[in-house]
Amino acid sequence: MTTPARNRYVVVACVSYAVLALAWIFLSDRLLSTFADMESIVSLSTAKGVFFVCASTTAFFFALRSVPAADATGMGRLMDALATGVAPGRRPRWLTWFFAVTITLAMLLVRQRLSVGFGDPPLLIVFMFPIILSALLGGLGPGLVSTAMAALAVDYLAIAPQHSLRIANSVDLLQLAFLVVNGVAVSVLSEMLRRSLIRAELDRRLLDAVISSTPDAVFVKDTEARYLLANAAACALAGKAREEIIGRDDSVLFPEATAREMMAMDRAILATGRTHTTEELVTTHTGRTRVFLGTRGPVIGEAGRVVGLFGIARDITEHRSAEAELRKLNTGLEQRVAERTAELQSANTELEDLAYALTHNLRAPLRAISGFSQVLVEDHAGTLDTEARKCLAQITQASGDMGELIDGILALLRCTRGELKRETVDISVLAGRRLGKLAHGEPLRQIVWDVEPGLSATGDTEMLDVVMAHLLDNAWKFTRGTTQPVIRVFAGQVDAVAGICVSDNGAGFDMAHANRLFNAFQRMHRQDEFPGTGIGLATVQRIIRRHGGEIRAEAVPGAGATFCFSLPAGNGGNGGSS
Amino acid sequence: MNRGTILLVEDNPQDEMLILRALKKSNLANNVAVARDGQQALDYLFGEGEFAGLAGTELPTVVLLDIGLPRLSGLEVLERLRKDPRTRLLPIVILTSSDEERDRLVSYECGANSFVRKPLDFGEFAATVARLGVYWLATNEPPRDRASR
Repeated sequence: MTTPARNRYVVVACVSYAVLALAWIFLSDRLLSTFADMESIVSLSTAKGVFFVCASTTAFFFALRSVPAADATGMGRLMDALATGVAPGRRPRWLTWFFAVTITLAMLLVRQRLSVGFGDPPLLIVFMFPIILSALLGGLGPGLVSTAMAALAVDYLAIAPQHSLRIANSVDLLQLAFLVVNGVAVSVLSEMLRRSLIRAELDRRLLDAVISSTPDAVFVKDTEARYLLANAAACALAGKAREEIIGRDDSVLFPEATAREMMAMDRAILATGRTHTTEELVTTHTGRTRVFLGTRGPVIGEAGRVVGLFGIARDITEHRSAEAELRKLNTGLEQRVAERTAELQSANTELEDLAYALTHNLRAPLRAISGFSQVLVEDHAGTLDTEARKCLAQITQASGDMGELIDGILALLRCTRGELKRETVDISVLAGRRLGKLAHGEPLRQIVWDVEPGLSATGDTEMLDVVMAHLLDNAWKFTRGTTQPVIRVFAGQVDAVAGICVSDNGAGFDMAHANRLFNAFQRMHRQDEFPGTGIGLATVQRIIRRHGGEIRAEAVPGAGATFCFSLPAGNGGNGGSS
Repeated sequence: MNRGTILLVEDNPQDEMLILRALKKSNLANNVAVARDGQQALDYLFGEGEFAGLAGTELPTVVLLDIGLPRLSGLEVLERLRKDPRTRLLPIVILTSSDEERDRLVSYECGANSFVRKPLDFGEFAATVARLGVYWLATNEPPRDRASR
């Protein structure tokens, strides 16, 4: 980092001031002494004082103008606090006080010697020298000490009446007042200058600390894309010392292709004056390609002109590779999940196949049991007594029940096997056909049925036929004890989704047991009231669920039951095993 | 009336007894030969192995073929029979307890003339078997008058 230009300005101003002031001190009083009359000396002395004040004020004006204005914000105060505590290169406080006292005393000594040659004028102007030096070095305090010491000493030693603080002559008083005012002004201005310098230095150091310690590469270039500034990270990236970088452009720092790209981006920034963040592939001096997230923007000078550009580049190669790793892991995980799911599905399918085969294989022995009982009844009835015939009848009954169970289980298992077709199914037609069949089977039952026309659903026709058959068979069965049975099929809702309902005014059931309603082999009525296997509703629910739909039941014991199911129009449920 | 003969290929002795009883009720029991596995059925039909003595004699009118058989399955037997010119047109009825759609499809694809599921209910079962016997021996006209081994 270079020394700010304003510091040079301050030095020049101060040195010029010191030289001019000293020259003035040695010349002006000598000039004055050439005038004999008192009036002229007084007026010239006043003019001399005014001139001196004007000159020193001008010098301070120029010195201070180049220093940033003090701000009264919280940040400014914080900076002041930091400046007094942390500011680097500060001289010990006592040294500046000591210096002020010493140099003032030294000047007093010089003045006493000079007064021998010059006669007896107060020769106050010489004291501006120690006052200014003290103020510049130590700020307000030492400046004021020097001023006070000079004023008191001159008053006591040089101004008549001597060896007293009283002042007899009003011209002397005026001169002394000038000295004090000048001294105070110089002290105050010096203090302001000192604080500003300290703050500027602190700002610079803070900025420098941030820029040099960040792992991001930071650089500033001029309008020709030559480096004006490059931090340690930028130097490491280029693989060159700072001296080799400053004043050069990217073409000597990076491989050709990379340099061309980077300089093209620089030109774009310089041309548009807009800040731009982008991901860059940079091939470094070692030949490795790294990924950077780079922000480039214009450096705006006076009058809003683009005078250069800055850039901050962060190496995100590790991030990127970590992300890639994570993606790979995720993909692997997804694959593992898919594999496990497939394994599970396969195991499930195997189990269902086993259940199916098992159930299926029960048929042959069952047929033998019922068949041979039947043979006994048909062919050997004469040799069997009543008790034996009763037993045979029970065997026939039991094997018939078991046959129904087996068929039910097979139907239940079948509804999750095979492909699930999705077609538009006319539920009204299915319902009408099933009810017609039921009426045909039991022509003596007087049942009123009401099927809403045009009910349709999306699903597998055969399976939905099974659903409607079970629901309507149930309605038919459970209205057996009802005097005026009514079965209705109508459009309804399931969990706020459009669905289809089947209702009856039959036996109903207690809703307390509704949660088990759809479990296999779960029955709501005694076998001697309403016979059944308890598989029908389990099958219905399995089919509806496989379609991605839902089924609900509402019932009141003795007043009937309503079953509503929904079938999503789109691709709802899973395909089950195939 | 020449009723012809039936070859029943059935490995389950109870099913065999029940089928034979049902056929007997229709007075068809005398015309029934029984093979108890797929290989035996082929030997019988081609007059080979233990049935070498049958070579050159008349083939049965119809074969009632179960699918789940030991050694050679019913479908394999069906395939072999359809490949051989002697039995290419022999009426074959698949009589099985399988309700797999695949079995039914493959059966027809392999050239079965009929596919009948054994009913679980004995009454229905007996009636079905009786109907089959009467239909294939009396009602149906076979492809050849005298197909021989």
